[in-house]
Amino acid sequence: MNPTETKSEFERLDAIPQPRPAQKLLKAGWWLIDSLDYLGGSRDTPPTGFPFRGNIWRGLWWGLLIGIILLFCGQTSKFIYIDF
Amino acid sequence: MIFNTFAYFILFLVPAAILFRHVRTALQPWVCLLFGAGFFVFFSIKQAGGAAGAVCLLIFIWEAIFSRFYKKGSWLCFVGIAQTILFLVVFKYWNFLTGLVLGPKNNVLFWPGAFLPLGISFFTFEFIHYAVDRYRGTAPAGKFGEYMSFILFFPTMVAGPIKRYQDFLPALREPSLEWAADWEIGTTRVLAGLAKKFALADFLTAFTNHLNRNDIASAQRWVLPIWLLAYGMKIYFDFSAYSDIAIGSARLFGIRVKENFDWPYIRTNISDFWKHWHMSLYRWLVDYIFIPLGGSRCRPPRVIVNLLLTMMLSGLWHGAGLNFIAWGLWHGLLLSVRWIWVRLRAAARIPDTGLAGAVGAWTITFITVNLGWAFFCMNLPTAMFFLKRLFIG
Repeated sequence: MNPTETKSEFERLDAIPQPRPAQKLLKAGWWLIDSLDYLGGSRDTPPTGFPFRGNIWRGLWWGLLIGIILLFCGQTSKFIYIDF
Repeated sequence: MIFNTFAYFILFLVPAAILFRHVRTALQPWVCLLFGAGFFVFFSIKQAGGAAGAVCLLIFIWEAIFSRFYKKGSWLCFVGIAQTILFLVVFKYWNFLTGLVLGPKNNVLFWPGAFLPLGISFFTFEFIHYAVDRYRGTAPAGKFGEYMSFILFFPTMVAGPIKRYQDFLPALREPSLEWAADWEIGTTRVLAGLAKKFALADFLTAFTNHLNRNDIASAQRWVLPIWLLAYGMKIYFDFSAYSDIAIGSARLFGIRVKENFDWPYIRTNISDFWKHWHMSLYRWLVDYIFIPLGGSRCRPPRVIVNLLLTMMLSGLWHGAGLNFIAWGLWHGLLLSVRWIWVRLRAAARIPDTGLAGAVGAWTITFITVNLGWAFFCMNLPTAMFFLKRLFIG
């Protein structure tokens, strides 16, 4: 619980020379995480190279999410943390 | 359920967020207050204690009045903390504690009509934070209406993220005026949270329903880790979805609430895991339990006791049961091992091991965290039986 230890091993790897495939893999992984964060609304701006920008894509994405919600919403189970 | 009901969106979120954007700044806290009070009463009656649960709104009113007397260094702050803990103990732990003392069968103090007021585990933590920070002089007093809107801010009232007054007050006084961006991103966040809850968390319930003694006894051994892993994923998707909806809802008001989850399952040590899992709780535990106990600036045995005690209390906060205490102690143990390992590694000057080392560290972290969920989702005898079947057969 040391607040100064903020970086994970994966993030620290940036400072260590890595074989090229490992570098590529890590870079792709972080890009994917940033992209998913953007799609999930926890990031305001898309990462560099993110292809689906603009209002049309946003509308399609909302449509897809609403479709998923409608498809699965019959299960209606409680949120776990409500009972805590 | 709350966040996945139409009532939440139609009666509370959308009208409150629109009204909040249209009234004068001086009235904005009162919009939060009124809708928050309505939200608490409505969902208490429907889901948490009925009329008696709704009456618990008086706790908020009492807290708001009493907290006006808090001053830097004042003993009244301690009274405020004590009464808040009393609320929590009476409503959440009464039957558990009296059962432990008197025995479950001879418990003459058993409260048959016990209920949990909506969000009590979360709003009491905000009460304690405010009392402590007022005592320390690190939180502003604010106005009565502002503090009421802080404790009754309904997007975060029921299950967090646990807010800090010093973060909330500036956001309340000067909310974002970027309507379009806030609504676009806030709506995306809410929709993504709902989709995550329905399609992923609820889907995994089919697996986690098997985590009971009969199914564990009759299942093939190889199935057991799948069920436990399903629970680990379910609780992540469920609670992070909840946080997504809460944070997205707050964004519709133009108020930014701090993040609660940040990819915890990709972390490569337990300390890092906790910095990215239920982050608002982690920060609360560090600031109001771990550091006051002495933190990590003590002798090593004391640090380990501090870690175990902090995580044990974290476990107890999650639920009134011995299994939750065991879950907390498990994480306290993992954090202690990590703390010792970091120091040994520094003393031995072991260098970073690159990608393979990181993958190994991630594997250990992922497995140990997921093993811990056994204590979280089953009572203690069932969890022990599960682990026995898993490892011994």
